Amino acid sequence: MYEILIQPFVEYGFMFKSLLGCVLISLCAPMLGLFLILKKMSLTGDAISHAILPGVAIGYAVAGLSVTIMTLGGFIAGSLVIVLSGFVSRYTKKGEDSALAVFYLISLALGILIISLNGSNIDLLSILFGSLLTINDECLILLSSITLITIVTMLVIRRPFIIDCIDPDFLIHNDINGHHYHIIFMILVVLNLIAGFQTIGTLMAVGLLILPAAIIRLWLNNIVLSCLISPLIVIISCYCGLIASFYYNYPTTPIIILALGLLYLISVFLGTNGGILWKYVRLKHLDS
Amino acid sequence: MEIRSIKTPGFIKSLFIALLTLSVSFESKAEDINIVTTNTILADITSEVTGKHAVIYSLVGYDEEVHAFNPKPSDLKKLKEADIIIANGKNLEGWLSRIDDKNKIVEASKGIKSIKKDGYEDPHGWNSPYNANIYIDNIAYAACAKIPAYCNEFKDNANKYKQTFNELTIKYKQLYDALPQENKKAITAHDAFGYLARDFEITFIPIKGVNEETEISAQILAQIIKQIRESGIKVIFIENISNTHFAEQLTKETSATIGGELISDSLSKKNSVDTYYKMVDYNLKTVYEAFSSAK
Ligand SMILES: [Zn+2]
Repeated sequence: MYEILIQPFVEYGFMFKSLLGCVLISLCAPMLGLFLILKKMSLTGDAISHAILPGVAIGYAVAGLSVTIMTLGGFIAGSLVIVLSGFVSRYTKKGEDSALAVFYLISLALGILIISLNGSNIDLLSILFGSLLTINDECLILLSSITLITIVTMLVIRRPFIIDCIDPDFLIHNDINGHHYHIIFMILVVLNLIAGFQTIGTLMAVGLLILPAAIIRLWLNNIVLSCLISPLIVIISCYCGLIASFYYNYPTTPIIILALGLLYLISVFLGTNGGILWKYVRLKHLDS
Repeated sequence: MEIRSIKTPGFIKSLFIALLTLSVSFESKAEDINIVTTNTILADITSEVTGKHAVIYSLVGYDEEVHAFNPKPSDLKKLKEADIIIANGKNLEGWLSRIDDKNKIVEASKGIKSIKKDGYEDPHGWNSPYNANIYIDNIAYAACAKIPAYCNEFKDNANKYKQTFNELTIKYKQLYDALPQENKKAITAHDAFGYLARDFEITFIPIKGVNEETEISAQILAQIIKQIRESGIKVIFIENISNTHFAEQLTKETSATIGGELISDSLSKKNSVDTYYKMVDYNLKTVYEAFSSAK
């Protein structure tokens, strides 16, 4: 058993580094996903993750596949979108969803265009679908920094931020500007989406935020407990992706997302916090 | 000037002038022969052979990846305007089957004793100097068929060009034969040097396949690491057309080191290896130096 499940990570440094990258991103991404869901902003997360692509693409056009420059480009682009989506939500009402969808489709197209004009389709694929297996030290340092920044910042702003999520009126009544906390939070989202891009690519990076959060919501109501347990979901899925790639020659990114999807389906049925099965059992119970 | 000095009846003079302009216009037309090649290597061979008698355009540029290429509308326009389209063949340009004027296509690698990989022909014939003659002859033959007037010149150019390759091949063959066989093994970024390996008795283990498949699984990476550890491979070569991430990963996990950057499928401006001859020379030299210094 040890040989099959653990040995690969001991024998091969790249397996260990890939898993380490997953552990680092798992610490914060699901937590941010939870708050995105609480704030009903999953789609904004999606829009930002796609908007990072043209930024990354410009970085790529300038300096090739350099972690630092592509990250910088992605960060600038992501921050721009926060500002833009702020405008969108202020000036449109019902149409907000479609405006964001239009926006991220344009970003995606723009990003792909910029990369295609500057290099090969092969680099494009590694940007879209990530390169978990080639995570290097530079990338691990970046992931660690993002994780550290996110944890420290969230600890500092936790009280007003959580109140802003749950009861924005409370802050307004007490003359506290909740908007600042919102902006800080969105910047953390951008940073973590960039971390996700380094591991599983821009197309599915948002999956590391939203999917584990959606899964844990089906089991727990307690936010703090959810934040503490949700990293496990990401680690398990990434582990599955790496092991499947190691033994069955599969690409890692789709397996990771599919593993998360499977966990989500299971949770929809079995989840103790709103799972279909328990609702059914309760109905039966009432009937008899 | 000459025409004026010759005293001839008017109509002969005009006939003479007419003939002269005819030949002039023929010549300018011949110089304007349009050749489109699919990559920079073929463009350089073509330009060596045709000299100043052709305008040559390469679809894939310097240092660019050739396998994932797909023609843009502007490329299709170039192909339409071309008098000759010089392609490598052997499935390197799969998209060629979709264009209209297939009769203009010349398969430059035709006649090479090909290597089969997973049931497909390996397209990378150009990377062995033993195949240079075939490429040169095929292109000279195609140019002759298009402009017979300059055929002798093309054949002359081709023969001189082939001679330089023959000298290069002999020189390196001797050097490589003198190397101990256990030194002649290395990792390459993609499977581009199968012909070179065959002709110079080298073992190359590629990270990516013949067509630069995109996603490398953990299994493949682990197998390569295992091979390096078990067979004691010391050298890893990177390439001008692909990224170096996997190669870097391998140097961290094994005792092998990067032995240099090979120019595989496109000529390189960044390494100033901008002719086919320089490329073959540069690659053979780089590999030889890495092998002879490997301990
Ligand atoms: Zn190739």
